[in-house]
Amino acid sequence: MEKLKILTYPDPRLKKISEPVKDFGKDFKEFVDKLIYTMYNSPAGVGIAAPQVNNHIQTIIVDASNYKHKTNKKNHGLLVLSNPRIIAHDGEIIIREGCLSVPDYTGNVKRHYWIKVEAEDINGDTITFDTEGFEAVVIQHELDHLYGKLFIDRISSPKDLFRRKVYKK
Amino acid sequence: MKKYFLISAFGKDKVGIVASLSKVLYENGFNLEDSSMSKLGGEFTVMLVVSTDKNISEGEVSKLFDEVKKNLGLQIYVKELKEEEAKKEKPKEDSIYRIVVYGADKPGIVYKTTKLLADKNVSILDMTTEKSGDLYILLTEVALPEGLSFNELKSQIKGLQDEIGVDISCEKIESVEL
Repeated sequence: MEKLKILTYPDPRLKKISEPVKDFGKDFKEFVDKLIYTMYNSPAGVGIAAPQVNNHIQTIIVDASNYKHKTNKKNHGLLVLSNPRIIAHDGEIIIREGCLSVPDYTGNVKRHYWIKVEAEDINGDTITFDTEGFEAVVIQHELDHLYGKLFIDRISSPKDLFRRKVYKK
Repeated sequence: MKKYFLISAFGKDKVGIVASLSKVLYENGFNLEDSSMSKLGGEFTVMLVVSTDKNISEGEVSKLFDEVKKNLGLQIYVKELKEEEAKKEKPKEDSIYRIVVYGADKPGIVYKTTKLLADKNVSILDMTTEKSGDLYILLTEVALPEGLSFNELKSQIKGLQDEIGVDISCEKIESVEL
């Protein structure tokens, strides 16, 4: 399988709002397979959103299970979430985020610590679950992509944006 | 060939300092490569690294700012940089730590902290201090040299904590690519 091409800022397509997923058929499932492959073959491999590969549908992939982080206490393994919405939240957490679509910067972003999510799974069935810490941050970061938001939009002060200290080899 | 200059400017804070300086740069075809601009006390201070394709000297760059200098009452210094001096050195990502030192204001907090860092060959990437009432806070981001472990630095810092009676926290800066 080949990795899908990831759009990088300032590509205006990253700012487009994605459409809800209605058809969970064969084409959708094939696309999801490619998106999962692309995510696992990217540096951290913990999350990706469909619009990052120029498909403007409301689907995100998250897998926090292999990433060591002090706030990664519980996670649900591989999640394929379409039309995700946060129906409850609590607390705050700040993590320094980077993004496949914004290669040269990282930034401290404040997110909800605990969230309750409702979404459609790969078959279009509605699921509800709650999560906290690292996985909750990843979901919120990817969900933002569906609405054309990047982590840069969430930086609270100029001191919270950093030029990446190391460029990828 | 590209030329690089460091420009430092400061003067009594007023509206329009950055706009006036950047107008000169914009109109003369300079690129702003890096900058730090901040109000310190009642002064506004500006440090810029700029580049140009023009073959121009330090003195000529300085002259471009003569009018701004006069109008805004700024002091401006220009230093030419070699290309390698103009580019940021990039330490290994896994060696970057944030240290926060805070406590009741007293002489020596900055000196003793930075002396310890210097003695251990720890490089400061960024540092700010804030003082409000009696509370003094020093925030710094540092890169550890090869051969110095985080635990070793931490135990040194613990010593400092007891010596000068401040609280110190130190943690690794991790960024996650999502």
